[in-house]
Amino acid sequence: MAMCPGVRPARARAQTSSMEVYLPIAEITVNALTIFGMGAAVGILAGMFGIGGGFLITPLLIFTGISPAVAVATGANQVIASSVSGMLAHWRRNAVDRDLGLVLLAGGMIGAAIGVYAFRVLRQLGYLDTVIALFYVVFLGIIGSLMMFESMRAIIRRKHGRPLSLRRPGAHSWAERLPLKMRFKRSKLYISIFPVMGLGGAVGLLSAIMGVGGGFIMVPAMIYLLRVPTNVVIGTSLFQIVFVAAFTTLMQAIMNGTVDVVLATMLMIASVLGAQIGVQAAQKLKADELRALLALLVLAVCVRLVLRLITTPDEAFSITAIAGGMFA
Amino acid sequence: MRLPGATYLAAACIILAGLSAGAPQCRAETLVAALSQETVFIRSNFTGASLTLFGAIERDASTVGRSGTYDLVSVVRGPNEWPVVRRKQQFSGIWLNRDSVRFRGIPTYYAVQSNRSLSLVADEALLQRYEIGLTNLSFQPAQPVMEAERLVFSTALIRLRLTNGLFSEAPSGVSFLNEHVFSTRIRLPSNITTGPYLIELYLFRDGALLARENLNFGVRKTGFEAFVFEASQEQPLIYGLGAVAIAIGLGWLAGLIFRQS
Repeated sequence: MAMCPGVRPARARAQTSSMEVYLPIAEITVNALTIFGMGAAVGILAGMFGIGGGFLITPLLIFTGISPAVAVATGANQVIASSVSGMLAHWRRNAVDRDLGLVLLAGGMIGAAIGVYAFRVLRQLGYLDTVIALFYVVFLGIIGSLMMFESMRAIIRRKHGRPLSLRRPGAHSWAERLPLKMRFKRSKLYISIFPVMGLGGAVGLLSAIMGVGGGFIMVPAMIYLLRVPTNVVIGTSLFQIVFVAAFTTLMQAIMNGTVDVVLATMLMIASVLGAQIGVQAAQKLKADELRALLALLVLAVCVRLVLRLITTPDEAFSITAIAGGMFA
Repeated sequence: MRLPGATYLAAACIILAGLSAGAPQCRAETLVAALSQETVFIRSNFTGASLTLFGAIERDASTVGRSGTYDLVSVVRGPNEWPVVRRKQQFSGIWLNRDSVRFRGIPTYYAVQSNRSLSLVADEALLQRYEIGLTNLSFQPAQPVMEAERLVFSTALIRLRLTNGLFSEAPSGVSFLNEHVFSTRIRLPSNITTGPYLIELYLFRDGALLARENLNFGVRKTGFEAFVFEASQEQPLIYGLGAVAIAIGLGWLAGLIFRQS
């Protein structure tokens, strides 16, 4: 950062080797170019595929040596920035079901609160890093495999010139038989609030433990489980993500003190710029091949995390400092 | 060396004081020392710091003449913490933290420097009494644990701290410029804890402790870093709201800029 007015030139020359930046919450010095590069790369991918990118940023931060606790909480902060402009665009087009979004949000806040509390307990027990890694392995593994499968199928179909058959969801679902029904006018739905809040809660929990927006679960679940019309799915999902991520960031800051605003700001600037490049690039490339590439990347990150979990660590011991011993 | 002029002046004064006769009431050696910096500031570009300590051994006319040479040991201690040391073990194929030992009041930074090997300076009992040397640092567990376990975990703690530069032992870290004047360098890595630091100087001759002197310096975050860190600790709600506001602002701004172009 350029914000150090009192630096004497002699000191600055001796201490600034290149672009080293001290992160006040992560309490380590990182190379600003690495962080900007990571943010931009994830931003480009996010722009290409219309994803938030949280599920790529958090593991990348962990790989650079930032503690998983800070990486996850800061990831949630970054998700807000990458989702807010999309949400506003959908809002202006009236593509947000506000009522549905609010019910999802209510569930999301409960899920995030539970998640942040679990985060705190796991951190005290020393299991947090492993639990974060396991969550990532499971979700990246599932998403990567599904995406790979789906994109390969699309590539094969395109090559054979056959059109894709659009699956139509069936008329009835178990979600319609639950009590406490509510009418969502914008989505033309009359459904129980339980599956809606449950979905919101699940995504909120992931937001707290993984530092992701959760769009990758939210969007398919809204389409196939809740039967929300596709024209409001993205907007409503983004609406919920922005507010849940904001709530998670706030909770992490209050309960765990793990949000690094300097790191988050660098990531946000890089990723929103990267996203614009990504949007441009996406128009020039074939969508299914692009998805196959993203699937490969997701699977690669997943494998890297698996290796970290199963290979014998170089150092079995680690130190967690509790300064002053206040929280005995 | 990057020392401000004032420090040179201070060092020169100490050397002169060391060479001239001390106050008449002194019966034995006394230590005088000065540090190149009273406060180390952590800024955004902090990659570690290095402090220089100059000192002199003052003697007066009545100081008994002794054989042998002086030995000087400098012990630097950072603020104490209660660290939890955890050990990863394999559990159904996955490596995860299993056992842990928590220690009472261990310095976050501990550096011992001397002009020669500690074993030559004084005997083990004396070194242990003043906790001079990594092997003499006391590790009291917060909860009762088996002695073997305590040893395994405290050894691991020392090893980890040595690796990241927070603990160090340099048997040639103190150099004598002449018989009475010495200097040493204190190296602080970028991952140091903020707070008060204590420098203990011990003067030995023929294995006997002749004099002691303590100095202090502080490590503080300053400027923007200090502001951010303190806000996150003392006003977490406002800090969190600020983090959210920055994110919303940046996202909104990006949407605005790129929609128009």
